[in-house]
Amino acid sequence: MDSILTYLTESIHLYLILPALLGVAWGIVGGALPGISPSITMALLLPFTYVLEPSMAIVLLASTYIGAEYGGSIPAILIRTPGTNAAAASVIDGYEMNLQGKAGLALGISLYSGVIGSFVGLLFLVLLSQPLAEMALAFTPPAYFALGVLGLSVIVSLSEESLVKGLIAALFGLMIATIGTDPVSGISRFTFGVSELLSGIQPILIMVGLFALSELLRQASIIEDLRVKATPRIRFPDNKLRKRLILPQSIGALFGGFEGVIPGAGGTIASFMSYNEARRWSKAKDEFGKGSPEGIAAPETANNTVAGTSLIPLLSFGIPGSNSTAILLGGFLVHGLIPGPMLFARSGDVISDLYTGLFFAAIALFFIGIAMMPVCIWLVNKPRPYLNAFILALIMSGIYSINNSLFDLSVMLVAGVIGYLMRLLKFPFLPTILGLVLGFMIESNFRRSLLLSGDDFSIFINDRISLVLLSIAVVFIFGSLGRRLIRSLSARPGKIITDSPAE
Amino acid sequence: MFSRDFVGGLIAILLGSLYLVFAFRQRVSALADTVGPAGMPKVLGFLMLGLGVILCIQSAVHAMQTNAPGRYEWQGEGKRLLRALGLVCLAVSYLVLVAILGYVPAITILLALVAVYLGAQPTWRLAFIAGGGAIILWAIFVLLLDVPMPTGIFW
Repeated sequence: MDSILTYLTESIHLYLILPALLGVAWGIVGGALPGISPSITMALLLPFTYVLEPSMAIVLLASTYIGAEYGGSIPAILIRTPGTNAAAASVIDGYEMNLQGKAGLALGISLYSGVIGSFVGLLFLVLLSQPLAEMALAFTPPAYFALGVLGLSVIVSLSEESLVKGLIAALFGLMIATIGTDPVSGISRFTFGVSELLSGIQPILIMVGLFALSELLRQASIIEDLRVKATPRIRFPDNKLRKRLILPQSIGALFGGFEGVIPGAGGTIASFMSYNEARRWSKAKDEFGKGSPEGIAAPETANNTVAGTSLIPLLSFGIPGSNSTAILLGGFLVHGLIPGPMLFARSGDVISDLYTGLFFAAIALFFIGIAMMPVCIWLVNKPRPYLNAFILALIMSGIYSINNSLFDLSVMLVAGVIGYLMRLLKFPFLPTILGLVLGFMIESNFRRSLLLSGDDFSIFINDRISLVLLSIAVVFIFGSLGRRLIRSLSARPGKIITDSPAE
Repeated sequence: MFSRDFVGGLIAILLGSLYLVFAFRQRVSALADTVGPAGMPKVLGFLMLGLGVILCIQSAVHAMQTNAPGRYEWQGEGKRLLRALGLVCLAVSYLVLVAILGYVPAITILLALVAVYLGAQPTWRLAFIAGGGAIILWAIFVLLLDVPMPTGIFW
């Protein structure tokens, strides 16, 4: 009996099913709560992953991301309030269908498209991650430095509102990364005699503070009353409708695949672009905006595809292109795993477990999506004070459990206050996280490169990989600046896409 | 009244200046490389300072061009800021209480106070939810995850 159980556990990866199921369920709940973004939902889980095996931890977080992307469409359809930014496009036709008494069908289309998007995203991820990472195995210190610079260049496209603010936020992250012991000489920097700071500030404390605690502080300062009036039952599309949805779903999968791979693009842009293209190619253009099933299928497929493809730059190069993948990066770092070129060589088992876990998660999304509907509606209707009090208690307990340290809690609280001020002053978070996680890599490899070359800066040009990566960074920066310029020149009132500073 | 961008710029200037002061005071080892432990911090400090100045100038120019008074930007923010600050105070008081009373009593108090602060009525139901919530969290962290939560000075 024991051997059968062992065989089952090893061959069908039973140990990955539980985190996949739990992750999807938690993600759906988090995504369904307006204000709790996928990244916050993941950040709340981060402290718990400390006690798990690395594979289980990563699968739990990645599955949460998938669940949250679907969960966001539930309040979008039912109360016209997208649970996540990426679900904003689903409000347009989803809520119209709800008003027409077709909320169950709208939710069914959203779930059905979300499952398809998850599988497509996984397929892209499996096909593209390893070849890209293999290419990166030949990396030298100058190449790693250039990779870090390439990662930071994403800031230009992330700083939608103000490039200067994005750069200031990134510098702030880089400054935090300098706290601790100098990577080359071993001398302490900015520790002010506090021994807990000698090993630096763990990114997890900053991430939970910036994303989760600052959101609680924001919610404490406003009063919202969002209620779902009826409890609809999910109804899936029939054969005829499923055939009609193939085109918008394909469009969603394409945009999700493309936008997910580009760091900084993300699910929101993919959803709106696929919505627009689905309308352009639809035979029933007039239905869009008035309750079109295609208007839900395209964006929902796109944002769930992004949940898979946005892991490609993270796994291959160690560059988190979105808040959610930044949290996932935190999950890797917690277990001493460094995403990037060496991850596939050193911890290939974790990668294959991640693929398997995501496969389970995509299947689980279908069943748990149906089962969790009443729970989500119950939670959306719960009085906010209890829910937020419990979330705060969960954060405080979870952060303490990482190192059994009250000092960590203080750091997280300070990060939360800073996050609140950043929200208030409309500074984006992701550049700070990028600076924080890439700072060490950039500084240490820059200095190592100069040590290797005898202070000759031409090493960054002579190294072919470094040259290519720096060139891509330059193209990326100027491309984004060019797009920004064109947009500002042709700016018109009534812009559809708006990203909150947190996402 | 200053706009959000102007205030953000001022904070960046202040942060950059403070950071630079400590970067210039940084001790350097005899074994250090040419860049040294203070090299990157100095660059970061100057960049922060420069970007802060640019943000302030941008904001001032924008205010002059649009002739829009910045005070409307801050309407109602004072109250909201104070509400958020209140929640921070409750979280800080938890740090003090947990070291004295231990995990379960402190987290019960935190749950109850935060719920009341956010608008829940102080009833027996609230006490039951706070106590129940604390026991659930204790079961998750102490029993399930084996985390040694603070026991306080009385136990």
